Amino acid sequence: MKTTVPIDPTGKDQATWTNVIRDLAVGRTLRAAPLANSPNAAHWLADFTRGNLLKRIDKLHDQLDLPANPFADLEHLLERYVREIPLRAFDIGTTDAARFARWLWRHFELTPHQRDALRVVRCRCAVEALARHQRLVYLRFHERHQWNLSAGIGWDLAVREGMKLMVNPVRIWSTFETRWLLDEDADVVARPVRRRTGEPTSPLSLPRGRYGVVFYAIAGEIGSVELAGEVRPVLNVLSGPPLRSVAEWTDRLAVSGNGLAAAPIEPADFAELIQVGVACGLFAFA
Amino acid sequence: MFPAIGYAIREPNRPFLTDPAINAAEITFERADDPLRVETYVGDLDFDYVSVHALKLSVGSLDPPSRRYMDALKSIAMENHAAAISDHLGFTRDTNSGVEMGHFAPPPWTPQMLDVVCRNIEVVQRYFGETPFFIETIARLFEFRSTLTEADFLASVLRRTGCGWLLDVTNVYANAVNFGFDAYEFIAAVMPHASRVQMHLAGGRRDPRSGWYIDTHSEPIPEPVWDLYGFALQCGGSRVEAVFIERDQNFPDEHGWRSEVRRARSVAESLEVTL
Repeated sequence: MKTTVPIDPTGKDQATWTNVIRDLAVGRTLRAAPLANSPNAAHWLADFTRGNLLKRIDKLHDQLDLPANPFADLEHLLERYVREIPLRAFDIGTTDAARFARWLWRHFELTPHQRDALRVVRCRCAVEALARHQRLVYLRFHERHQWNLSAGIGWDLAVREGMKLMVNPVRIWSTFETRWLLDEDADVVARPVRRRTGEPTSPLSLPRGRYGVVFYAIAGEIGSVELAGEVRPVLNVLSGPPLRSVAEWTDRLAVSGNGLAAAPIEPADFAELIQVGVACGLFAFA
Repeated sequence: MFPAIGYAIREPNRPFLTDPAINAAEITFERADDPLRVETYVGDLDFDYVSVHALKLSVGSLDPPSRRYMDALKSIAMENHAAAISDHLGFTRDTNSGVEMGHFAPPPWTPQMLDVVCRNIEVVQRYFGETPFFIETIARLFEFRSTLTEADFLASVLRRTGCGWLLDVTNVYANAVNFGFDAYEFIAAVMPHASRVQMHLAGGRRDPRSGWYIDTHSEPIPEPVWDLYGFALQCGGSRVEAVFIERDQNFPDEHGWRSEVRRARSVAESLEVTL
């Protein structure tokens, strides 16, 4: 028998209400329809949930911005995802895209290209989350970097004036399995940092078939650059307190067995790394 | 007081926001909340009145809005010198640790849910302090079984919490068309309980199958909504602080952008002498 008694989400019907909302969040309307009291409620509830799911898929497309989409059945995967995994309460930013990437990773056998594409998505999402969490730090670095560019602060001036070196604090590392997103003609990412010889740095300290990429937030965007594997511990050392001048770092890192990085770094290579890094927003002189 | 008038900011209308007819802007929080941004959302534009419009406070949920979400909302409001905050009379989630539906639905219009909504609005108002909060009437396509009318529910919310009313004129028009009540009576019944008022204007379209009016924000504002707007301005009088036009799809050309906001202003100016 159809009842006309209103549901009481605050009391005895709380569990039912929660289930109704969880159903609606993944496009199911069967439990909600009998609680409605308006013309064609079943039709409009279905319309409501369909519209919500489509909007969520649209947003996921924007957030994913998949590099050279390696998923032939992406639409089908997105449809399945939004019907299986509800959006989390207070989901803001790109967290849904990061969850979608994790969901794909867990539930499907992925190719190396697909895994690398999802690494890009997850790193971009992580950079956004980090920028949100460290907003003031992000803005402070951005302002300093903008000043470097507008005032034309270069390596020589920084050394002469005893300037300190800042590493972009909003950065995430990843290791790729293939080069399809890293080569010169690839869409995505990564401009390789070159040595003075003009050759791309080789990922010397990474096992064969592993390529180090750092993603970072700069000037309202997410940059990325391929770096030789041995640069990672150097970056970590440079970003730790205290801030030191570029000249001081040059001396310290060049010493064999310096205990700071895995190996000594030639002053010329260090200067090259910093100059390219400043140009792309990974470092700033302060 | 003459209302401030302008647009809900969208990228396609940014070039026209310096139109002399515009002195207000509404920022949709979810659009402005970009953690990578290095400039304010409003940018170099200068308005007399800025309001931040949220989508996920979900005052019709059993849990009060999360502190984290309100913190993010506040930072956008502060960065853009907002004079007000608003959200919808509806719910989008079950609990704070639960799930999000994606769009707001109307709560059951019952005394129990009235208590919940009022408590949640009071939480929001306490958090935002001096910055006034407005609650918006949503366009609904269904409603849950209820013991109160929407007008009674809304009037009670406004009376008990003292919050402002964001009267979406188009939503009231759509609800009246679809649920068979008189939009003028609705506004006349609720307006006396509002301490301060903002308005939304937009254009929707008829669903060809059902004949229902759908609030799509994709069409010019229809004549019945302009008429209802004039009536609402008269009812609200000096309590009407701001009027915002919303357009989210099927964007007009420059003439379209400028003409609607100028009409919104001229309707208000023509009524001002009689207010």
